[in-house]
Amino acid sequence: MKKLFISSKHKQLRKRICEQRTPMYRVALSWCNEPALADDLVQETTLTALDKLDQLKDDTRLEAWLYRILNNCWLGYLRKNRPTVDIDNMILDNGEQLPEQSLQQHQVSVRVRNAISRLPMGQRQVLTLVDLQELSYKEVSEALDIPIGTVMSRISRARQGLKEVLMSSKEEMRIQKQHLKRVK
Amino acid sequence: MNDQIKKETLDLNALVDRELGTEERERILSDVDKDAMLRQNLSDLYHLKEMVRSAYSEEKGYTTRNPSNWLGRGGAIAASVMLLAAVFAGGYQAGSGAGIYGPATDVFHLAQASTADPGRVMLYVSSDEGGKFKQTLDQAQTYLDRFRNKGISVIVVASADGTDLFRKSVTPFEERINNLKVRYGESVDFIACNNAITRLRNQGADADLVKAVEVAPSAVQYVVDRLREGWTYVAI
Repeated sequence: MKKLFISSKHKQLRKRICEQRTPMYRVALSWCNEPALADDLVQETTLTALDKLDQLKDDTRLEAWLYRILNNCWLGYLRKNRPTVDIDNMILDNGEQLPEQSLQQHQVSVRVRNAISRLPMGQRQVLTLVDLQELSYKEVSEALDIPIGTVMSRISRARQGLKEVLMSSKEEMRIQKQHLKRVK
Repeated sequence: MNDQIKKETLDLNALVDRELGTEERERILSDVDKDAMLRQNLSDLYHLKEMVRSAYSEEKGYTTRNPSNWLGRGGAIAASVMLLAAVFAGGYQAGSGAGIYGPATDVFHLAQASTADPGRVMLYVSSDEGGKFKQTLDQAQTYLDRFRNKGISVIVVASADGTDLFRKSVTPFEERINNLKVRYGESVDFIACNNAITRLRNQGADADLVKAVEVAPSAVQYVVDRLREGWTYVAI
């Protein structure tokens, strides 16, 4: 009887984990900026979570637990591929612009993503877990294994940095437009 | 990055992230209501949060390609997980609300235009500088006239010195405001801030309002709530 109960509980948890794949992908993409890598990270996280489901003590902490695994996968990748960088302060701007489209939504998204990619990794992780995934500060603290005070300072700095980058890129666009008008 | 972050900055971020208890929240909102700079900062934070959320809302999720090698796993298990995930993957609802309080900057207008509902417009006025009261009513009337058949809703929110727009004793627009309400009914609302009214009364000023005007406990909170519901915000 107990076995049946556990099996049903696991089934529900598995379903919840799978439901998190799309949100996890967005967070992973915001961290690494590479769709293929984000894909891998989510896949690895999902497999690890399914494999270690018995280690989850409290079902209500599933999201924090999942993002802790995602963070570990991401750190594992960074250790393997960028071993000399201080991860918290790392800026991963690959300079790659997404294809320009006429849709304003897409243009804004590209600018915001580029701005996010210029934030130090520690700030970027906190920002995206809070804003994309809507984790509480406490959950982010658990997922990234940092004090809540650090979560608070990082999110403040992240938003300040984002604002500065977005404002300056807006200004650049304005100047470029003026320049084009003059050429014409 | 060792510079100290002001407590008020941490508080505003916590407010935006719904990390505060009721008492703390009320205290900060009260401060925000009195301080234009704090209002602008809060406005910026809400916009930024929404911009981040919107930036990834189009991502539908993982691809279906084969996993690469660095993870060292994959194959049949991964494929079955993918298949399972494809069945369960849920859609993402980008949060509503885009702009907020205070004079909006261009960058935030951009974000707002991409996420807010253009059929629900909130005009915010905080002073009569440069004839803003007339501009506000003109703009409200233009929206209502032009898009009435499409079910547009307009809210005019006034706070700080903008409250004068609704004060019977000083506004030159009492008749116009009442006429707009009679003509457009539920399509238009006029909202004054109780905090601003209380301050006026404490100073001994006459704070009786035009008949068509309703009062919200806090204009800031009112604006924030409407933004969460997806209203488009326009600072006059």
